[in-house]
Amino acid sequence: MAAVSSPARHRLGIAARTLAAVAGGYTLAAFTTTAFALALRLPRSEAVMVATLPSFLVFAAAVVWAFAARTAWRAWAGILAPTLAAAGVTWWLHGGPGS
Amino acid sequence: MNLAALLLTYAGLLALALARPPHRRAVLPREPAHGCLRLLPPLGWLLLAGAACLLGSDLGWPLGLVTWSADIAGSGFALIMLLAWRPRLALLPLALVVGLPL
Amino acid sequence: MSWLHTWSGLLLGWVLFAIFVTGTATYFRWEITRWMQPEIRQAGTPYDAALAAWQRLDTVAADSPQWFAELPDDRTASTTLFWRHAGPGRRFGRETLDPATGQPVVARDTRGGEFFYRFHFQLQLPHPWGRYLAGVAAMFMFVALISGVITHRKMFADFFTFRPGRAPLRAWLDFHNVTAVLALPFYFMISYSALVIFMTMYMPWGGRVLAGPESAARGSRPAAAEAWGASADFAPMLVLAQEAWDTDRAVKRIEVANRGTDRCTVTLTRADGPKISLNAREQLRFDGVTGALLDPMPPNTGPGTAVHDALYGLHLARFAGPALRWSFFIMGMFGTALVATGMVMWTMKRRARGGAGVALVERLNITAIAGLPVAIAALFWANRLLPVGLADRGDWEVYCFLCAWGFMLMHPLVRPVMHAWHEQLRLGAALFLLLPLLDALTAGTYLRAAWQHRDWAHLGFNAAMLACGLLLHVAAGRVHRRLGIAATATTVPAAAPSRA
Repeated sequence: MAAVSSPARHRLGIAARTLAAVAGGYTLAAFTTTAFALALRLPRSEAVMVATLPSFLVFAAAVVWAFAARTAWRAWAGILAPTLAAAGVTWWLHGGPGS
Repeated sequence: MNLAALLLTYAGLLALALARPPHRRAVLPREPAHGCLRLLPPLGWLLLAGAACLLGSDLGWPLGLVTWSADIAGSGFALIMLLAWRPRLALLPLALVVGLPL
Repeated sequence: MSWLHTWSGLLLGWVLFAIFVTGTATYFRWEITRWMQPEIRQAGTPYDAALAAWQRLDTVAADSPQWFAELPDDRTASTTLFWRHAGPGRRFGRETLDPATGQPVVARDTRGGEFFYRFHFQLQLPHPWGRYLAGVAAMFMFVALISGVITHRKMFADFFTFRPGRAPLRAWLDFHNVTAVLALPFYFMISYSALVIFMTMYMPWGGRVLAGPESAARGSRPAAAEAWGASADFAPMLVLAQEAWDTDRAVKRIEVANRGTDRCTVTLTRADGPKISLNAREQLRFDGVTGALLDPMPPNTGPGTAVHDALYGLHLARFAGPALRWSFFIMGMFGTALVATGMVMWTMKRRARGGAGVALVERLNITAIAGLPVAIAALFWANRLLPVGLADRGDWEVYCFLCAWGFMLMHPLVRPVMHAWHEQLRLGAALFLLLPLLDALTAGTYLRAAWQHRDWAHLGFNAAMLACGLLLHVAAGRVHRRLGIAATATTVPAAAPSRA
């Protein structure tokens, strides 16, 4: 039984990590960009530059984390937590609970 | 000036390669003294840094560093090809520089 | 992590290979155009060409709100004009001028080096999709680089080691390492700057949440209903530019904006100098109505803009003189070899196991690595052999390229793998090696003129084609030797692999 389910589990793990890397990683990069762009209080074009330039580094770091984490659960948790934080900051600065 | 920097990067990479026994045995006719060997890695890094300084002062640091990394790629490739096929000739580019003025 | 390196490298490897080949060729984009349009000779100074360009625009695009002209320099022979058509919408007219006569060129129609430049980031796909695919490929490459460095940290230690005589897989791995480490900063720079160049397409969200006054202003363009205002005389502006800039790095671009309105401006841009950042361009701006010299545009300052402009400039490498440009070209070739060796190793490790996946990857590898050079050679052959008067000749050249590549996709389906490698490499080698001969036969007068005038663009192109042909010839020879070994080794159990 275990011998049959083990490769299946392995594949499921890889699929979960891939999804975390691609979808989770991009979402994290997008929300860190918006959070930075809003938090920096710079002139618009400069704020967009400074916030967007490192976004691909964030994306790449998330991808590497997704495949370096010990389990697929940890991979997801490690990407989801900062994504929610960045989304929260974005929501707060973009109008917050008032609007 | 750029040719000088190119040769400096070559010499620096050659010193780093000679610090490794397999390449040293292939290039040098006999094993040098132990004291010399200990000096090879710092000498290599020093030569590479010298090439960077030369290019930096000549072309300005941004363009100098870009040229430096391109020089390392070019001279490194030449060195690796020589080490792979004609290891005895790896010293030749340096010998030419020393020999030409004479 | 090793899994990530393997699959991020393979999945878009074929796209990445084609992007690397065309991008490397793009470093010599204008020289390629010169070879593909040998009729146009360099003549006159950029200032004569500027005046001729202005006069031509005045006759063909008098009612246009916006003009652009790219002037010839020591790398380009012809003037390119663009103008925006009057009325709504963003439609542009385009014309190539012979700087000597100031008239449209009488030369064969070709895309020239522009083909490689466009293919490099648009991949002959419909508009946004080529750029998105190129962006995905750049991201995959960036991830493959990072995961490769993490997994194979020890490659830095034995990076001087290349053992061509060893077992094939070992030799390929050595070569993969060597090309990776030698130009590692270049790969990181080129993949990250590729993402940065189109970052507002790939990561538009920062601008979306900051919908400020600037984005609103861009949309509102006043209708050109007001009376058409006359513009100032161009010649005095040119005299000023001539006094400010020498002929060595002279005026390169003319842009006239808001023509016909009182906000008309004329901007002259100097040829690129040895400054990396694209923001460091030298410009002279004039009031288009009075002809008065305006204060220079306040440069976009700030560290973000500075980093962006530096990365953009590094990617295009317009700052590079001939020696550095060749270095970039060679590093581009290393990158091409890095991608190719990685993809070949993937199949070598799995060949024994067999299966449909390996068979498919192997065939796509042949089409990409050995087939693309054949297709490029076909493009150059078509440039010399298609009738000069053919309608849409430039498009036909591209069809020849695509057809040749299509044939190279079919060919491995009917031939055994190693034979297909061998035959495609041989075909590519022959096409490239014979190209200078074809050039002498079909464009001999231009070749002779190029020799007399020491026109290195034309001569250097032929030399580079010979070098490409030799490279493919050597590769074909290596495959042939392995074919011979395989033939003697597998004559007895020859039936075994056919089951796959």
